[in-house]
Amino acid sequence: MPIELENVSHVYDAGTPFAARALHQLSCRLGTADLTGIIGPTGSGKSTLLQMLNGLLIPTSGQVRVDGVPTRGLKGPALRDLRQRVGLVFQFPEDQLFERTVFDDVAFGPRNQGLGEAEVQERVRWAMEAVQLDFTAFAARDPYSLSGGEKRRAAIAGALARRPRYLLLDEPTAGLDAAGRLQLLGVMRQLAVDYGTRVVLVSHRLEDVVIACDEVLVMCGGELFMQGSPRQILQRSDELRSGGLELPWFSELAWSLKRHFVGFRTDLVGLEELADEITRVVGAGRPRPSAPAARGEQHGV
Amino acid sequence: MFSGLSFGQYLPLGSVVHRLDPRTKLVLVLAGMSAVFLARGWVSLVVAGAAVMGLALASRVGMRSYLRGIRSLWLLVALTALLQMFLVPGTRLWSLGALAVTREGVAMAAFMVARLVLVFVLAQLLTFTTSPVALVDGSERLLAPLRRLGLPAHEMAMVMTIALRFIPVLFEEADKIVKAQVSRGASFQAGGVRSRLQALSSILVPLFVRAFQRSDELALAMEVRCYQGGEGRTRMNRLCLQADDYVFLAAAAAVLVVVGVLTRT
Ligand SMILES: Nc1ncnc2c1ncn2[C@@H]1O[C@H](COP(=O)(O)OP(=O)(O)OP(=O)(O)O)[C@@H](O)[C@H]1O
Ligand SMILES: [Mg+2]
Repeated sequence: MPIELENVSHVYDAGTPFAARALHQLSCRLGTADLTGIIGPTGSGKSTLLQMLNGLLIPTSGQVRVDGVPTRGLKGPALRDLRQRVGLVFQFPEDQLFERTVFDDVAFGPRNQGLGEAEVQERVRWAMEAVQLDFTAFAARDPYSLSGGEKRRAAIAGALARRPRYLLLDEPTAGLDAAGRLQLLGVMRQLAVDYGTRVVLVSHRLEDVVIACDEVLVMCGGELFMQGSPRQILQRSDELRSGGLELPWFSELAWSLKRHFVGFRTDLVGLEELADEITRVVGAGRPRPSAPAARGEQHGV
Repeated sequence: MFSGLSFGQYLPLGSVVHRLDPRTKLVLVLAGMSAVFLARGWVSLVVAGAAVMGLALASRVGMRSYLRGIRSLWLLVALTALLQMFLVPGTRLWSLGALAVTREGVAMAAFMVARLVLVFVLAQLLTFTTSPVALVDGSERLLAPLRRLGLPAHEMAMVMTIALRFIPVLFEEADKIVKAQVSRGASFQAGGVRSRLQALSSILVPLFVRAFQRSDELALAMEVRCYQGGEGRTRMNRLCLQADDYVFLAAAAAVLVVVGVLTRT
């Protein structure tokens, strides 16, 4: 059973002059696909939504159910069980690192699960390798002395080490270089395959989300704007633009080619599919040039 | 989980009181507190109290907000009342072993509680209606004459501004640390006193570390912008007393005189 939201609204500091509406009448199901992406412009309520899912925030109205259990009113062991089920990586890794060494920080979660020290050590090692933080080099470092990208990896390792069933990541690729982003998205896919983890990730970059995810939610002004597969989402380019989102470069290109070539497909995801479609439409009937040239140069994906 | 919205956070509502000069408000509050403490007997206290309540009504903040602030200090109020009831000698009303509640004690307790409540209302009035920056600006200007005696008025005001500015920031930081920890299975409700204290220290230690980091960053940012104390600084908003300020100041003087006369007789 996935995570279900039913008419969820949230107002921060409700009942004071500082009241701020963050979510409005949101209903959806999350975690039905292996990788779900949430995207939306700044202030659209993405981080608020994620914090609803592990019970850090309780909606002002409406209901959140994780595997059928409502998050409202949970206490003690039931709450602990929810937090075990749903792991969360915060938007700013600085918000999440609090121990004196990277090892202790990553070990914080497994230790709270009551695991023995040998198993904790093994989990920490595994989680750090998974995010490509070299264990021997980083275990004893002070988290505050890490670079931005290294902090991000350490924060993700901290959530991974608990082996949650649902892993929520708030902007996990922000502050990483191109190679780091691809590698991290690869790790998320691997988790889904190896452990059946359902990954939900928030991003500003539609490009990362459509390439990496199976299901996409688009948020706008605290409301659910669209939900569908990456192909379905990319078909609605005008709505995306009106919602303040930038299309990935390959979709922009596909849409402008469509103006010149009737029947050019616009639901293409990634460079490969775009190249194939161009070959199909433009180069139909012509002999294929030698293979390496057809691949072209890899653009910054 | 934590909220900075407890005792007297600035509420930008734009009432007459909000628009007053911060210096006027500081003087009003000091005058009000003096009146409340000068008052001997119910008549003078009622006069002072009426003035305070009038001011509170004019602030448009709403009595509920004032009450919420007072509720957070209920322990102090209750303790004061209890001590007065038992410790003032006089005719016995009711006794509990060696201790006795006296008629004079009850009257005194009511009087003291009324005083305390009025003082709390005044203190909150100041912070509800004055932004921290204006408050500090006002106190700097009021203290300025003491600079001749070597009092670092500007530096004191700057320290106060920074401290006030960072109270909500610290609340936010604590909230983030708690969220990060409970997300990974920490628990602050369960367990005995010992494990709760441990959980508390696991928040306080990183909180202090972050506070020190922040102060380092702030000091650097101030130096980068050539901050060098009050010497030769000009200000963007010059404070200037308006007609309203004089009206309120005159009213405060009148109340003080009346209370003074009433307590004499
Ligand atoms: N702790 C808070 N107190 C008050 N208001 C808040 C708080 N957190 C968020 N908000 C408000 O709620 C709205 C949604 O915020 P949220 O952080 O969920 O947006 P977001 O989609 O994650 O934005 P971003 O892409 O910039 O991270 C914003 O208008 C924000 O100002
Ligand atoms: Mg966010």
